[in-house]
Amino acid sequence: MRLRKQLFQSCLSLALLCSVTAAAWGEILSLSGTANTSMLEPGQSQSVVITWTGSATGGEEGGSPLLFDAGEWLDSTGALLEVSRTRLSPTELEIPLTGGNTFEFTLRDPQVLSPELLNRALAVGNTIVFRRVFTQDGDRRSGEVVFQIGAPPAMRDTASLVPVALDVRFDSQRTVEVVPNHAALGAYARFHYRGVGLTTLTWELADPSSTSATPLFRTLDVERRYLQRQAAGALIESPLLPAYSAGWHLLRFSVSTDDGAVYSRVIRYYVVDPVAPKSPEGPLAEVQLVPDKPGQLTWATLPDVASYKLEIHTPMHDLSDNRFLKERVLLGLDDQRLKLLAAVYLPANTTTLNWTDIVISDPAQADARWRVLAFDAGGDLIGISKLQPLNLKN
Amino acid sequence: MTRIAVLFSALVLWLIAPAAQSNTVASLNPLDCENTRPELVVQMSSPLAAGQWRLMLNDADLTPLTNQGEGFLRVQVPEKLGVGTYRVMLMLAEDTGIWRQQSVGAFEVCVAQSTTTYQLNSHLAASSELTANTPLGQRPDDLVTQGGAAVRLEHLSRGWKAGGDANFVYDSRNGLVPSGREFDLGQYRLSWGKAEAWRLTLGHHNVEADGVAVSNFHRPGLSLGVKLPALNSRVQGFHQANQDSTGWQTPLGGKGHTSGLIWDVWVDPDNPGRGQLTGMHARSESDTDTTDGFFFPTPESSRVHSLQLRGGWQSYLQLRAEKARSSADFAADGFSESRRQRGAAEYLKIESTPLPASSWYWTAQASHQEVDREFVSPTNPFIQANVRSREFATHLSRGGLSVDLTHTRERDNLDRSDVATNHQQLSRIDMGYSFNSGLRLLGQTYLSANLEHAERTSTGLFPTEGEVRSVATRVQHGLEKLSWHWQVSHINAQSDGMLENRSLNTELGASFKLGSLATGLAITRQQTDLPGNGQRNFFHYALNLRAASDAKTQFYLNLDYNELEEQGAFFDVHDQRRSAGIGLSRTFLEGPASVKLSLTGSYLHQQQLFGSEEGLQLLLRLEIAANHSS
Repeated sequence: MRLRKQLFQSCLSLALLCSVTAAAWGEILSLSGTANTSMLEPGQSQSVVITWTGSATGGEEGGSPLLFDAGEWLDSTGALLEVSRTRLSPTELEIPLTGGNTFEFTLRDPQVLSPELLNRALAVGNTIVFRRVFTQDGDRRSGEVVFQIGAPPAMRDTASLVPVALDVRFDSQRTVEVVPNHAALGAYARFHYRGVGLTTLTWELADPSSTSATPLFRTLDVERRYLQRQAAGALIESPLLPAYSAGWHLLRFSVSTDDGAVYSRVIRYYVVDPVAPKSPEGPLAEVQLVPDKPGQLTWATLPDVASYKLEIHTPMHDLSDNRFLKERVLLGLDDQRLKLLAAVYLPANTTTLNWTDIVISDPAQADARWRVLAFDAGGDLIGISKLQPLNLKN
Repeated sequence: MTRIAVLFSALVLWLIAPAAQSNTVASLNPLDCENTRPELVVQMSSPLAAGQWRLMLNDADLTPLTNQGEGFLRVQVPEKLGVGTYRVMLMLAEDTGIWRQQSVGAFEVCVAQSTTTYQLNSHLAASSELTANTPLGQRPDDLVTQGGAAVRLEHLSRGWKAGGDANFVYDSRNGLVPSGREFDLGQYRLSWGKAEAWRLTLGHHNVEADGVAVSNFHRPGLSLGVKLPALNSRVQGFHQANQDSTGWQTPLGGKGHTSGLIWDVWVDPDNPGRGQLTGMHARSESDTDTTDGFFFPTPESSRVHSLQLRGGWQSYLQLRAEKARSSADFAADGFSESRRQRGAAEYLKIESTPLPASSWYWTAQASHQEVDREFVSPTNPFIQANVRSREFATHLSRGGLSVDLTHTRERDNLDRSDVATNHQQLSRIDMGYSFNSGLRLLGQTYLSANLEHAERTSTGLFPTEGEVRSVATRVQHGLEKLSWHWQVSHINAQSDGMLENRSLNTELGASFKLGSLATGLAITRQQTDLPGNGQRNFFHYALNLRAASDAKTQFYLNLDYNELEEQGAFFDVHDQRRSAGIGLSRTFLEGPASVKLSLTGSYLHQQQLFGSEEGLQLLLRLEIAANHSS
C-alpha cells in the first residue's frame, strides 16, 4: 500500500515536472502560407505577396521572438534556386508571455521574381516553391507556397526566342581587323538560342565618313528567318564587306524577334588607305575561252617557258550560295575570296586544254575562275595571267 | 551508352581490320628536304595501263609531265615549292570506271638558306573637318588623327620557321579603338617551330581540334604542339584566356584561363583520314562573371575531357565519334548556393565521300548528338545543352542540277515524365539548277527552291502542337559586269491548328558595273501577320553607287531607307530611318605620302515610337596621309 502510494506520487511529480518543462518553452502550433496569385508568367519580372498565418505559444520564462530564416526559392525537384533577400513585415514578432496561451499571428511576405529565376525553374519543371523557416524558442517549422508557371516560351510558337549566346567575328576569327584596300573581308555570326521563333537578321555598317562624328549605320543585308534548330544554332554569314574607303568601319549584326527584343554585337575593321591597284595586265594576259567551245581554255606562249600550270578556283561566294552579294567591288580587281579547286601541270608545248580533262575535287561547283602560270627551267615563275570566269556546268 | 560502346568497338575493328588494298602497291623515293624542286620516283609493284592512272601532288595533277617506265613513274616537280609538307597520291581507274585514290607518300620542303619576308600595310592620316549645318549627336573634333597597320613577318631557316602577324590601331577620338585607348595593339599571333616537328604559338589562335569538347575557342594564349613520329602522334598543350581581348595591357587576356592537353594518334600520319584517335582534357578557372552569353551563369571552375575517333573505311565512308564528360563548380553568389554540376555529351557522324571522277556527285551523312542539360565545356562556349538530335542529309548533283535533302529530329534531353519535353521533326529540301541561258542579258542563270516543314510537340502541363512550313524561291543571273536576283519566301507557323504567324518576304537586288561606275541595289519587303497581335510590315531600300574616274578621283553615294509599320494589339508603330552618304575625294599626291581633299556628307532622319532624330553633316576634310604597302 505504502509502495503504491510512493509510486503514484513519483509519477505525478514526474508528470508535473514534464508539464512544467513543457510549459517553459514556446512552440509553433500551426503555420500556413497563401499568396495573392498561384500562377506566374515566364519571361518577365513580377511580384507576389505571401501571407503567413499561424499560431504559437511563448515560454513561461518570458517573451521570445518568432524568428524567420531567409526565404528560399526551390525548383520542382526541391533544389535551391535562389535565396530571397526580401524582409518580412513586421521584421520581428515578439510573442508575449502567455503562460501557455496561444498567440495568433499574420505576416506579410512580399517577393519579387526575376525572369532568370523563372527560366531556371522552368528548365526543370512547371512549378516553383517558396519556403521560409520559422523558429520559436527552438521549435522550427517551415512553410511552403507552390506557384505554377505558365507555358514556357519554348512551348509556344509565338513566344520569343530565349537567346543563349551571340558571337560575331571576321573570317579570320578576330574581332578587330586591319585590312588593305580592296581586301576580300567577310564576317560571320553564331547565334545560339532556346525556343523557336521568327527573327530578322540584319547586318549594318557605319562607314568612315559617318564614324567621324556620330556613327550612322546603313543596312548591308536583311533576312527573315524562322529559327528552330537548337542543336546547331544559327550560322549567319555577312555579305562581302566594303573595303574601299580608308578609316574605321563599324560592323553591327542584330537579331530581332517579333516581340521587339533586339540582340546585337559590333566589331570593327580599319581599311588602309587605297594604293593604286597593280595592273592586272602582264604576261599571259591573253588567256581566253575558245568562243565556240566554252569548255576549251587557251593561252599564249611565252619565251623561255618550260612548263605551265593551269589553276581552277572557285569563289567562296559563288552564285549557288544563298548569301548573295549586295555590294560587290568590281573596280577592275577579281574576287579574292578564292579556293583552289584543281590544278594541272602541262608541258611547254601545250597552250590549249579542255577543263573536263582536269581532276576536280568538288564537281558540284558551277561558277569558277581560271588562270595560267608559267615557269622556266629553274622552276621560277615567269608569267601569270589574269583570272577569268569559267562555267563548269557547260 | 551501350549503343555507343558497341559502335565504338565496331569502329575500332573496322580501323584495325586490313583495308582492302588495290592490286598496285606504290612507294615514293626518299627526298632531301632542302631540295625545293625534287624529282619524284614512284616504284610500282605492277605495271599501269596507259590512261588508267594519274599522279597528284596535293591538288595538282602531274600526269602530263610524268614519264612512265617499267615498274616506276618519274617526274621533276616543275615549280619551286614553298616550305611545307606535300602529299603524293596515285589515282587508279578500275574496271567499273571508278577512280580510287591511293596515298604514295609525303615529303617535306625546308630551305637551305635563311629567308625573311615581311609585309606591312599601314596608314596614318590627320584630318581636319569643317562642319556645316547641324551635326548629328557628337560634334567632330577639329583635328582628328587615325591610323591602322597590319604587319606580317616570316623567317625561314633550314626547316625552322618563325613568323607572326599583328594589327595596330589608332584614333584620337575615344571609343573607336576597341580597348578604349587612343593607340593600341589589336590582335596578334606569333609562332616559332621546326617544320612539322613542333610549333610554339603565342597570341590569338585556335588549337588544332574541333568537336563537342573543343570548338571555336579562339582566344589569346600560349600553345605548344609537338609531333612524336615514333608513336604516330602529336601532343598539344595550351593555356588560353577565357575571354577574347585586344590591346597590349592584356596581351594574354584578362583574368580567368583555360589550360589543357590534346593528344592525337594516327594510324597513318601521311594519311590522317585513315584513322585518328584524339584524347583531350581541359580545365578552366574564372573569377569574373563575364560571359559570352546572355543567360549563362559562369562556373568558378570547370573541367572537360573527351575521346574522339575519326576514321575512314575503304575511302567510301568517313566517321567521327566523340564522347565527353564535364564537371563545373558554381560558387554561391548570394542568390544561390554553391553546387557542382556534372554532364556528358556524345556525338556520332558518318558520311560518305564522293566518288572521284564520276558524273554523279553524291554524298550522304547521318549524325547523332546528345548533350546533357548539365554539360558545360570551357573550350566550347557555344554548345547547346539539353538537346538530343539526329540528322540525315544527302546531296546529289549532276550537270547543273543539285538536290539536298535533310531530315532532323530534335528533342530536349531531359527525360522525365513530370517535366515538359519538346520534340521536333524538321524536313528540308533544297534544289538548284544552274545553266547558261545563252542570252546576253541573262548570262549564267541559277534557279533555286527551298521547302521546309517542321512539326513540334510539347508534353507536360500545357501540351501544344506546332507546325511551320516555309517555301523560298530564288532566281539569279550573273554576267561579268551585271548580276541581279529576285527572291520570294513564305513562312507559315501554326500552333494547335491555329495560325500563329505568317510572313511573306520579297527581295530584289542587282549590281552592275558601267565603265568605272559600280552599283548595288537592293529592295526588301517583309510582311508578317500575327493573328491576335496585329501585322508587321518592313521595307528596306538601298542604293550604292561608287565610281572612280582614275585612282585619284573617287565618288560614292549610299542611300538607305528602312521603314517599319506595325499594327499591334495595343498600339501602332511606325519607325522610319532614312540615311544618305555622299563623298567625293581627290588625291593630289601619291606615294609614301599623300594629300587628299574630300567632301563627305551624311544625312539621317530617324523616327521611332519613343523619339526621333534628324541631322545633316557636311564635312570638308583635308587629309594628309602616310601610306606604306609592301
